[in-house]
Amino acid sequence: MQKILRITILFLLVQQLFSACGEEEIELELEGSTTRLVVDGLVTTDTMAHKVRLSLSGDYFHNQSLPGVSGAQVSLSDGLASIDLQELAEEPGTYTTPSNYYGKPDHWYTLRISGVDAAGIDPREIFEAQSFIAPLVTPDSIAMEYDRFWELWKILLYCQDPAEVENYYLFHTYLNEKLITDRYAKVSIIDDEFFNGNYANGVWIADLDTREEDQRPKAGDVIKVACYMIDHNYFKFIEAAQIETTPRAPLFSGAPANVPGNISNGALGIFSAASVSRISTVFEP
Amino acid sequence: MRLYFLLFLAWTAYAVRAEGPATALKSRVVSGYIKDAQTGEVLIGATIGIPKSGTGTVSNHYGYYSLSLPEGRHSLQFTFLGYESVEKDLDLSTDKNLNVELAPASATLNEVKVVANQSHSRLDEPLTGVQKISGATIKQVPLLLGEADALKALQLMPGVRAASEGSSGFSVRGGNPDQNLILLDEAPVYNAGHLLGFFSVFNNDAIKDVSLYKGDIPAKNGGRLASVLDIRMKDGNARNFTASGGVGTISSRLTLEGPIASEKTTFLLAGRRTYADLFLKMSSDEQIKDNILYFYDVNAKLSHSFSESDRIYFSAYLGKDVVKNHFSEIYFGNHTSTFRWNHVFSPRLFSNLTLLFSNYQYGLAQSDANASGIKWISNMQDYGARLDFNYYPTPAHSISFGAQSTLHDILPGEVRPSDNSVFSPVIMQRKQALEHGFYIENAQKIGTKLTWRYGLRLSVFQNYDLDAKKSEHSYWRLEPRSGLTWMFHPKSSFKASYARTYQYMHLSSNSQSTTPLDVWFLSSPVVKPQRSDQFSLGWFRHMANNSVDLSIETFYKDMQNTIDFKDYADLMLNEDLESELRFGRAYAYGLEFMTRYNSGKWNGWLSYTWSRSRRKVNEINNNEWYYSPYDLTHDVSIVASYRLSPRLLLSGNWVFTTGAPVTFPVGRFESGNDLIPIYSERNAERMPDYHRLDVGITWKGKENPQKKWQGEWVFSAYNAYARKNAWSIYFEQDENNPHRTKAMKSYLFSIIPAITYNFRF
Repeated sequence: MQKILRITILFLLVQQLFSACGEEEIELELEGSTTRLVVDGLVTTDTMAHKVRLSLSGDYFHNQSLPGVSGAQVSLSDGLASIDLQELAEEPGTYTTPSNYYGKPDHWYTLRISGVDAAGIDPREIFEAQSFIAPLVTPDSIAMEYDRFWELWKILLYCQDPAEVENYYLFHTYLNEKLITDRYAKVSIIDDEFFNGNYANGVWIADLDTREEDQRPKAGDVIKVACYMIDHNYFKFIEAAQIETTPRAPLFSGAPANVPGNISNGALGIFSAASVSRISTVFEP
Repeated sequence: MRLYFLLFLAWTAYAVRAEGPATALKSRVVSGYIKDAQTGEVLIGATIGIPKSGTGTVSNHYGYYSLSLPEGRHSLQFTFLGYESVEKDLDLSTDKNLNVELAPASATLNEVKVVANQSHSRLDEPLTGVQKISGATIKQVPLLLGEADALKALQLMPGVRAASEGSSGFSVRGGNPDQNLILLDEAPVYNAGHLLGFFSVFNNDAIKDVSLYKGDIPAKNGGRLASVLDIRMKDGNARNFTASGGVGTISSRLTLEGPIASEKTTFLLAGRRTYADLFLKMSSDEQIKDNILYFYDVNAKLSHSFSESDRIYFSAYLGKDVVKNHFSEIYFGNHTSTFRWNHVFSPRLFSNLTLLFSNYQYGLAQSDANASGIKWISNMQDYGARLDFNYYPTPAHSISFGAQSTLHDILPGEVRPSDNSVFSPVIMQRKQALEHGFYIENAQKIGTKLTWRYGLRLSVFQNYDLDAKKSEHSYWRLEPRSGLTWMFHPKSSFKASYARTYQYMHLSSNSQSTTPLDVWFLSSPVVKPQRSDQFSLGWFRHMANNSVDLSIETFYKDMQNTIDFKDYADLMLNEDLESELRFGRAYAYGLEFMTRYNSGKWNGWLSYTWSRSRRKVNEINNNEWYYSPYDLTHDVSIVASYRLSPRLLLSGNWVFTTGAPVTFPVGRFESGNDLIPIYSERNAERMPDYHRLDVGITWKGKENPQKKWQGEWVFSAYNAYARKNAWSIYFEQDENNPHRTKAMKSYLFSIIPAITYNFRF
């Protein structure tokens, strides 16, 4: 809801402003940075080979793909048992669990990385991160509603929010099995501040923006929403990543800041564990 | 603490009494009001001097002056900038009431001529860092869309800069915009901007006097660290009914003023409204056509003199901005009212009682047709009273003292869902507090060359629960203020001053420029009052028969309990706002140079500021020092106008400022399909330098004594050489090459021409 309000405010005020305003690319010289390990890992309640990507950070105008980190030891523990992840031969720097692995709700997961062999990183350093899988929340249904003004199809959620606990939701949207929310800025995250413990009776959680060519549903198309229950760290990470990957209007933004992660010893990125359920609807305009 | 305050009172009384035996001759008082001969408006800050001895005084905010002199013959000179001086010879054997009227210089002269003995500043005033600007000067400065604007004109003064491009929000000596106390006829104005701050709420036609105190604040005011901006509305023409106004590029104005029945009662009514939305209607784009966007403001004032010693004033301001389309609506605005009663107890004792009210509110609504319809409101009120005295016991002392009390009542936010909305209402707790001030200050002449001002203010702040009718927590703070002036030469003085100030209300905004939706919050057991200690030194000189004023001032400001916000602070509707705050310390220092000239044909000023402003706040920037967003290294303003002929005035101003501190990325990492920036230190980089030229031509219609109507055309161009000054710099991923990131600059204005027609009859 806060997001929706912010968009409204931004739209109303900035729309007037930007009509008088221009933009252009400029040349800037930026300072360099030290190399750090970057972790990007997600374990869910799905049964599959879950991936953890290790890479290195680079200078801001590096302008090339940043290299993966090969040959590290990566292990994952659910508090009872620990497994080692295997590096994919075809994708150096990407490590996976066995394909029959799945996360269990109400468990803490610990990711442990050692033996990182890269310039600028001490090979004796051990990097760790923890994440908790929140209990599954299964939506009852979703519905579509067109908003003429915004020119988008809103996706409305019907679902009982568990009381007593703070829940963090992340929604991925698919149109005919094609992932629409492929960037942080497109992912929808909400907390239950405004409907904690209530029945979410048609809450606007995501949308298809019909101004984008790949987001115009036709009759019979399948719209699917994957509902992830995530922990607070991941929620904060995405919230910050959304701010840092969209243009900022100085009128409304605070000073930029580093996206907060949960990896120890100065590594960047996030390791997250989440429960996931899916619901779909057939589009009828 | 209360004891110290009482001790100080006793000292002041002693200092005044101690003068007694030294003055052998009996002292008499000459007192009265100084007025504009044309309109009967009282003149604020006019000088009453005795050229022979160099003593003198100035008229107060109500045009009243009182000067104690030894019995005998005296020659008094009355001067005020832009007016013809008047000399009066007096034989003072008893106390004497003397009202003086000064004629505006231009009104009596067809030819423009130098009017001597007029300066923008007083060499003997024991205050540093004061900037005064008159409505007439403001009018001559070409500005955005041709709108005369007090706050924009002030930004051309040393030590003052815009919070962001085109904004009426301003920073004084490296302070935050919320550290300025803006008073309109003594009522605080909490959001002085229209249209996202591009215009200030002050309609220049209704303004008489603008004074800015840059941190060296007289003891009568307090509550903000950086400055007090004291704006006084006109009282209304006491002689004739006049109408004046203008039709501008985006707005029109009309001001009516005059006497009611007799000269004793005057009124002023000024209104202004923009019509940008009328142009939107012409758009072929349905979405734009639908939009409503306007602001208006109304200033009204009524005054009545019962006698020479009693006068009352009632003034009010009402303004509102509305931005609306079929989907949603935002409105915001201020309302202030002030009632004042001037009473002269004796020629030596002047008093003023003020009752004031100020309200700022905003609201936004989303259409309630859908499930996310809401109505959101926020408002704040001040109810205040103050009693101020000016006491002139002997020629050497000028004492002011008084007390004030204000109730602050803030509703940070209330969101109510529409009938079929899925959201639950959010109703934030109202916050209330009482803020009191007690002060006494004496400006004492020591010999002929020294003037020492010493004052003490006791400020008390109490968090208050209005329902339970009890105070929950209090702060008692003493604020010493002092200044010393040494007139080591008839045309030159040296000044030093010190001021301690406390601030108990703070603006919840972490953006570089304030927005209408920012909410004020109060000091509490957790949020300690911000404190500032400012030391300043200055050298002041009048040259070339007083047509040139020169000043060089330096300051050092130490600030404690500075507030900043944690990374990604959530400031909207946050009941636990205090958890988003981080506290630390800050300092600022700088050098300000200014020369103002007024040679008849040429008018204007040149100002240059060099300064630094840094802070160190817990948990921010790894607890290291960083630049305040309002740190400006170099700031230059050149303002000039040239009267080509009595009908033609050319004007221009050029500004240059070092780019504001900003945080840029130094590295990046990949996560998902995104490139995430890595930042090094907060505010370690700079925006590109900013410079801009504005020009204007004022062309007056022929003056015809038979016709009352006077008109003038004003043509202006903002940003005349169309520099694309960066408003923001942001970074984005290249759409075609996801590995490439680029820096983008957005700019607000290219060249903006404007035409205004002003009239008066």
